[in-house]
Amino acid sequence: MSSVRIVTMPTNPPEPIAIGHESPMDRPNLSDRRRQSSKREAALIEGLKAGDQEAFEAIFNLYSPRLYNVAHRILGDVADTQEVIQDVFWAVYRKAKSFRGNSQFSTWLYRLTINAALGRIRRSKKNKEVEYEEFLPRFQQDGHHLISPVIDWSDTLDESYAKQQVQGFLKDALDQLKPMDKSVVVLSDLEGISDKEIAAALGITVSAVKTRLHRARLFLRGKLAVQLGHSAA
Amino acid sequence: MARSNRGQRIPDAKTCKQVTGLVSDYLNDKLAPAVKRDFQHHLRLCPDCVSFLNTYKKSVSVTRSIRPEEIPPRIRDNIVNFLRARVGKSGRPS
Repeated sequence: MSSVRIVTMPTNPPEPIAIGHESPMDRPNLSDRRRQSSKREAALIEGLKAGDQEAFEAIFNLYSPRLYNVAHRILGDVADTQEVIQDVFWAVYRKAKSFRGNSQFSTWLYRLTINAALGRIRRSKKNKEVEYEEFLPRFQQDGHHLISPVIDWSDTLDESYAKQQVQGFLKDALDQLKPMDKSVVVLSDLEGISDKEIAAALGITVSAVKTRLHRARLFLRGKLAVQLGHSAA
Repeated sequence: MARSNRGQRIPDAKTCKQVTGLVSDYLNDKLAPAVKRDFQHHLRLCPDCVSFLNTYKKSVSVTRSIRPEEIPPRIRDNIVNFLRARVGKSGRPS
């Protein structure tokens, strides 16, 4: 038996598969492209290991935009991001031979970048993170929402605010996540990386990735709700 | 929380709190069929959870729409110059 309080009858529940990263229809072309690019990538990695500076430059051109975005989202500061990215690529050049291919090359690069960025935050102690609790959903003892009705502001958001303004709210909220949670959100929702690859890059389990991602998304939703004048609960 | 024949824990989707905890798996279509049925049954009866689900989806889609931060040309030049100087000094990587 359901323990839900019945308020109104029925609307069709929203369908799943709304936030996945790729639709099945994309897959044939995607896998062709992936095969080609992984072949090219393998050649570049071999070149890099042999000390080929053109291969290093090609790898820099290929990955620096993504790694810059990741590092900047985590650090929020251009000068810090520059230092992290130059240190990461310098490490890539020096340590290429230590890449054994046990994970994807991109996973290795993300790991170097995240470690460098998180290390920098630890050292600087400039972290702006806030307590999550205030922005998470809250429930009564029997499991119902503490505050009812929950306002559905999803449709009115685009009508009331410019896209850039809403993204600005979210960027501010992202900056308040704990660094590890922010890394998970950036890799998952901004870079579109799989939970498995994120787990490998961050050295945590897939289950821990899912837990962190869900909690961080709940916090971001709560921050956005409050910003729009509603309750986070 | 129930257990499957293999002893794995199967989450419940009967209260708002339980449903909220499963929203991400629901949207990625990762719920076991029985749990998904309970989840959808709950949604049919609970407008609060429908609102919650819609706003959760919306905040994820806004997060995903944030444009990538591009490397400013000056910063890219600084990084390239740094690397050229280091690589030039070191020659081949060891």
